[in-house]
Amino acid sequence: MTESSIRIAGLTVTYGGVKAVDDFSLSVPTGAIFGLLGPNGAGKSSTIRCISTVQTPQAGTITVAGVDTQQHPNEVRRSLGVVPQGLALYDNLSVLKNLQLFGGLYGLGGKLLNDRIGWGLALAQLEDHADKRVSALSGGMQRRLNIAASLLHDPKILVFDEPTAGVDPQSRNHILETIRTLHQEGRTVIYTTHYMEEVEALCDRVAIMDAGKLILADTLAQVLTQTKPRSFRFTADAPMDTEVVRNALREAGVSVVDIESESHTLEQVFLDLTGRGLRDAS
Amino acid sequence: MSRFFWVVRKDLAVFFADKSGAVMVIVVPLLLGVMMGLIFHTGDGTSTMDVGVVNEDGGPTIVALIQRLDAEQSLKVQVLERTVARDKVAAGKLGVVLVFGANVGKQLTATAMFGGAETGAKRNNVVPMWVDPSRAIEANIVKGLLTKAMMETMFSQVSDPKQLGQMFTDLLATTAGLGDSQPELKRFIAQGVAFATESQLAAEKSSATGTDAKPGDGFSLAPPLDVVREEIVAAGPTAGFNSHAHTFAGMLMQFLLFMAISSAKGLFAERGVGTLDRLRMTATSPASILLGAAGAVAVICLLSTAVIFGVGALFFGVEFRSGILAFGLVSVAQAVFIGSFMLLMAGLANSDKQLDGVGTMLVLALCFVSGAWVPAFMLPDFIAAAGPAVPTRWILDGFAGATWRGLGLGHALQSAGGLLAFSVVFSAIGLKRFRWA
Ligand SMILES: Nc1ncnc2c1ncn2[C@@H]1O[C@H](COP(=O)(O)OP(=O)(O)O)[C@@H](O)[C@H]1O
Ligand SMILES: [Mg+2]
Repeated sequence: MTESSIRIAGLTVTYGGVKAVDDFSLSVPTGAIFGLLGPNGAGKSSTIRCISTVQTPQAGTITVAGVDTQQHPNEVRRSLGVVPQGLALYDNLSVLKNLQLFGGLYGLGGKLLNDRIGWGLALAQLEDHADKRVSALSGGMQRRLNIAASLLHDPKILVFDEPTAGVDPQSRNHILETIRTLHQEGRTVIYTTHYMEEVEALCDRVAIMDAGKLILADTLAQVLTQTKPRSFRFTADAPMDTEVVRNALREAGVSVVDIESESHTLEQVFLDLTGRGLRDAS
Repeated sequence: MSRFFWVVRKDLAVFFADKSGAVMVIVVPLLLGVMMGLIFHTGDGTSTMDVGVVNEDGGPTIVALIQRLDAEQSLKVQVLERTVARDKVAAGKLGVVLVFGANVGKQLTATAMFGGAETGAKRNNVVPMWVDPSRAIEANIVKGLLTKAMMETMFSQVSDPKQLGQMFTDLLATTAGLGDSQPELKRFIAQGVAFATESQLAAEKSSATGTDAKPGDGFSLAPPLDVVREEIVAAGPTAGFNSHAHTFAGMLMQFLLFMAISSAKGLFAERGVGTLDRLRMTATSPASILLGAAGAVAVICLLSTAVIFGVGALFFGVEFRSGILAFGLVSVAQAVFIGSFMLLMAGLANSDKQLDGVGTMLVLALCFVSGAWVPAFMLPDFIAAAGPAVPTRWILDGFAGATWRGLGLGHALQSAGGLLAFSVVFSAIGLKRFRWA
């Protein structure tokens, strides 16, 4: 992981004089699954649009697999799979027509195109909906198609811009699993989100940006060990009273601020109760 | 290149995914064309106008005069009561009414040409013409045709030997008081009387031998110059103007220009949704994306053109008198031009609003100055002079040449060449000016 798949240096993007990205530098090692965290308006999408060559920065350079985005944009485009934040699909065309179009535009044809479309349909679990218009799909299905459409040319570097925005938990889970699999197959991944727990669950490296500036960048493990933990979670082998725990800790000299007895997040409970199968029947 | 075709395919698929939109492209210009064609259609290329007539004279001369007016190709006479006629003009239902008062028929004699038998205040030779002020042109036409009909009526009288005799007899009576002061005039009248008597005898003789002698047979007095109408069309003497060929081309062109505006909006919508960026992320060049969109517009144009002129040929007598190749050339050139117009609009406008405002204005202006609504000869001189600088004029000229005028392949090549030159310029501006973000 010595070589960098993406190297950003001094990136600055302004809109009408207002800096959306401000002297931003970052390096994404090959093979990483890299989480770019930041609140809304932090400049994540602007950065990604520059990486994907569709936006020209006011200053700075970006190389993708060693190729400069501004000097050789077409070469960069072929090695990148960028999943845009918005659903950039043709609403009144079928799933299949959309995949054919983007596959064709990526230069695929004949059997290879058909194979890749089959792969994409499987990836998005849309095999049974190939002939449906995109507008007839559920939000989650559209999100999954949005991903598949960017990966037909089998790129080695994948960039996801908030791919789980506005999807149901089943689809979100499916999307995260998909990305994990794509990474395990040897691809470098940049994953943008403002959901901390997604980065924590998925990524091995993390950068946090705010107001266009880089706040911190490191391995997830490093970031998480930067402070000694104050908060613990354990599971007893049998149900017990909260008082038993509190008393035991007091005897050990720990001053307990609060104690939480809930074992599941709402989402986990929800998924346990509703099952992890995808809910697409619309 | 293959990316260009993928974009064309995509845009066509998007277009035809909206079934009602697709139907519009064919049905609307067809309906407009048929409608306009019916409005302006007259078998021989002229339109008829209604003219009202009030006949308070009632005599045979005025009745004959009215019949002559009605026989004019461009007039249709309605005989009306005075009050009814006046109301109709006032209400704008009739442009022109001729009022023949009592006894005006008596004035319509050959003798009247010489100043008339009756002179002075007694003479009643005024024919009021009531005119709707907004239809002054019609009034002029009617006045001209009335003069023509009056002359014909009088000449027909003169060519009847009996009436000719009567005319000279009248003249003799009027000139009796002159004494010997005008010997040449008297000699002329005497010769006239002899001539009239002779031809009257000749006419009686021929009717006795059973020949159906009409007044004027054997000899006749006729207008000295006779105007014979002849329609000149390159395709040959039998070919005529086909109003459908003209209106179909005009309405189609107007519709396609509007379609180009809505396609430009489609590009803006794609820019907003992000699909344009996604197309660019696939390493498809900006030129391929924009030209592909223009290509789809061109294909749709060709389709509309084929359907509309096909219907025109099958049901409305539109002919491709320069051959299908010439027609095809003009059609393709028009299609390419409309595609480039879409790019120009997408490049120059910043928003849907600008497209709606400026684009609509521009389309209407282009249609107007090209003669799609009113014939080009009726346009002000400065617009007519701008002719070749107006691309839409090349379209209508091209289609006129390829259909009813039958100007041949050379003319079609000229029109196509002109349009393609415009297309290159428009596309270049569009490609250069289009904003991707
Ligand atoms: N096209 C644009 N025009 C003007 N301002 C923009 C545009 N795109 C983004 N911005 C502004 O730039 C800042 C960063 O936006 P963005 O890169 O989308 O952030 P993020 O993806 O982290 O939410 C925001 O303040 C946003 O309002
Ligand atoms: Mg964003």
